[in-house]
Amino acid sequence: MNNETKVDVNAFNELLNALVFLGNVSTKILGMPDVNTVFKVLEKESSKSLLYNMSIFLLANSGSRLKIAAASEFYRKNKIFEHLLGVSLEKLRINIAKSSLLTQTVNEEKTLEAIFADLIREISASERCDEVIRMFGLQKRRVILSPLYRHKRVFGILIIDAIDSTDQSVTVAKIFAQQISTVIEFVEKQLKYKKTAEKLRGYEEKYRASFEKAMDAIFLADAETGILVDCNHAACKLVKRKKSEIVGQHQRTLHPPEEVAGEFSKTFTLHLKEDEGQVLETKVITKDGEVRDVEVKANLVEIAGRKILQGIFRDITETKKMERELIHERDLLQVLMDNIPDTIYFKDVNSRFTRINLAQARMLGVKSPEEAVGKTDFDFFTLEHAKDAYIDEQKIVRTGMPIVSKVERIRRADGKFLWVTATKVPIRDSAGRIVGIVGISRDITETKQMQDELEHYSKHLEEIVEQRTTELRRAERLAAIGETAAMVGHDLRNPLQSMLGTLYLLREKIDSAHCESRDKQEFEGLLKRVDEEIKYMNKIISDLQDFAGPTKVNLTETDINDVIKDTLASITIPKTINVSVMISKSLPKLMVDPTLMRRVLTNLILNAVQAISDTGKIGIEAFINGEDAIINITDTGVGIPEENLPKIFQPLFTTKAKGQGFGLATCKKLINLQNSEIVVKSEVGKGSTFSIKIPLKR
Amino acid sequence: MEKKKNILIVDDDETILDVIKDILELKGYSVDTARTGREAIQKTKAKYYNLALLDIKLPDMEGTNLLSKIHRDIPKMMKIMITGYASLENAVDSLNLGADAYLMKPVETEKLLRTVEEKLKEQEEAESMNEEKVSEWIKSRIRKIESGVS
Repeated sequence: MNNETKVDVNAFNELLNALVFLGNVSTKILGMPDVNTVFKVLEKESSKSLLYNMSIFLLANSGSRLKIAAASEFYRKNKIFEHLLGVSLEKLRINIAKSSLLTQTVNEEKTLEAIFADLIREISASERCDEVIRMFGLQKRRVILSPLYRHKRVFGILIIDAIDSTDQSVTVAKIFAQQISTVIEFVEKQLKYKKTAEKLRGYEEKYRASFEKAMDAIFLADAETGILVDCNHAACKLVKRKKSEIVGQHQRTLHPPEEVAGEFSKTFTLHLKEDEGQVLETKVITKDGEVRDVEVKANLVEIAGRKILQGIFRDITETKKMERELIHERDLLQVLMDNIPDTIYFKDVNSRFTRINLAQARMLGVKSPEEAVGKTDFDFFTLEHAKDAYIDEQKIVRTGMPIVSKVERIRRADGKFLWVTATKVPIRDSAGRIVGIVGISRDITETKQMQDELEHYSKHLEEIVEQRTTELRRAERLAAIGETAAMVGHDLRNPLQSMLGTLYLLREKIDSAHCESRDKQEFEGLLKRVDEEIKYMNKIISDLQDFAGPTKVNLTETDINDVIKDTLASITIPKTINVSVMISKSLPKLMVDPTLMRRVLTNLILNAVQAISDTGKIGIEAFINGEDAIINITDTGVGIPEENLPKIFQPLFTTKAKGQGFGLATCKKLINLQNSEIVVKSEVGKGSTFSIKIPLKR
Repeated sequence: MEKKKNILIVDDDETILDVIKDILELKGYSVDTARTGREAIQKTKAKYYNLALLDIKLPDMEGTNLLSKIHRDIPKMMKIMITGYASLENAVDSLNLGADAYLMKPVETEKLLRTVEEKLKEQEEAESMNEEKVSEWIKSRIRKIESGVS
């Protein structure tokens, strides 16, 4: 008994040990992958003891059968037992309905103590059952059957086969079963969790991979707080921050201030409200302060019970830049087109306007360039011009040969005719096909007019040059004539001298001759006529020499009063002519050549005398007028017709029967040589005034 | 009868020479003519002329040249320049070179004769002035001698 008790105590203790072990196991259960492992651990533990056997049966799916989940070495190793029972332990099936013990345990959830032999008899189908019981000495052995629970429902039976069980053994087994149930439940729960976790992890890994590898920057932010909870590599690159510098920050820190309204960025707010899933444009700011353009698409997701806004950012800075450049270029082109005075137009291959600038619109007389689109030159210009232009343009379309700076005369919408230079070149698409033409025309009307004027002027200039040349030649010829005349005149003086001498001798002879005094008088008259003619011839020669010959000018301080007196003294003036001289007392001495002045005055006074046919007056006055001294010779003679006034100072111009037209020309020449001027005012029938203007300051 | 005054006319125009010679001879002068400067110089060396009428243009030399030569050799001789080509320069030059008068062709015969007379008279006066001076000098010498001062 002692021994038995001892054994009993031992078995009991070992069961307790197993229980403790199980307790330990449950604390380490995290390392246990599944329920089967739990059973294997139990099997292994129980096999350590020779004092009890343990087996665990689990309800099969139908609920009416049991299958073994774990068994002690005793069962597993005893092949004879298996053989005898006709069931291998691995595939042991026990029909519950056949065993009252099992039914009670499962259905009534009772922990039972029974004779092992009875249990075998109930569950075994073998005829050799009793034999086996005897053979293995199971007659006295007792078993304890205890239900195993899962989620408070029986799912199997723990069978403890103790050599000598007691009441205590039953309690221990009951606790053991309960413990196993707890462990199984825990493990299953863990397993389920783990499976979910694994599933989740798989999903996350997959997601993470695509998340990290995504080209687009992805930011995850808490929808309520705006705090960034995650981002990918591209996101870090976009804002040039480490992930640690992003996660935990507020999402508005990603954006420049102008993109933030209130607590959140504008797009964050929009994406949370009406624009979820929409692509919006915004800007982000990098760590070094660079602002970049981005497109954001954001969706609300739920992760671990939290609402997360997942934003996918795409950097469109370059695109934007190109877009802006394109816009800028387009604007530039527009500005150029709208402001250039030249007309610019684009046409399709059928010579229809596709785009024109403001200047062209004005040319065509349309209010806006759009109005011309689709129309052709035929809608605006004369048929003739439109036809010519059309032919030109079609040739360009056909041949690709541009027309450069073609001068055209066109009629503008307002009817004004213009001269333009037209340049037209083909437009080709990327494949090189001609898809239209672009033309630019410049209004050269003014240039053309100027050119015409210039041409006219240059032609006129030629005329002037020719005229001047003619005049020059005439003057040269005159000078040559003058010189020749002077030479001839000089040579004439000798015969004149001889004639004068001869006349003298003739008079002497007649004086001393014996003839009638009446005849003598007559001879004297004839001689006088010859004498006068000789003197006149002499005067002609003198005039010629004065005009043609080189004249030296000696400007000296001269009292003009003396010159006038000397001049008058040397001229015989008929008594029918009244001469008055009025010289201003304030008139200073003038810097003139007295000899030349005398000759000029002589000429002018003689002219005045000749102009007065019968009676009249000659007035000579001298006075100061501003910076000049003026000498006026006025007569009450016949006057000079207006048409002759411009010519009277020209050489060889004369209205006198006896005159070669050198007198006034010589006067003008001599006056001009003294840096002075001579002008004339005259009225037919009233008289003339010759006015000499001598500057006071030299 | 008073001794005839000698006059030389220098001109390349033969008719002028003839006419003026006739006129001057009619007025009682002894007249020689020369057609060139060279001939004139020869004649003035061979004979004393009271007066010369010189044309300013001569075939072989300038009248002014001839004038200056004659003036240097025979300063007492009266020289009247006659020119067909009048200019102040010419006139001034001529006077500076020793001409006693300057006439322009065609000079009226009365004026020519008047000028010739005037010049000859001037010459006479100048000569008599010299004679007077000499006689005055002699008289003063005699007075000094008579007074015994010497």
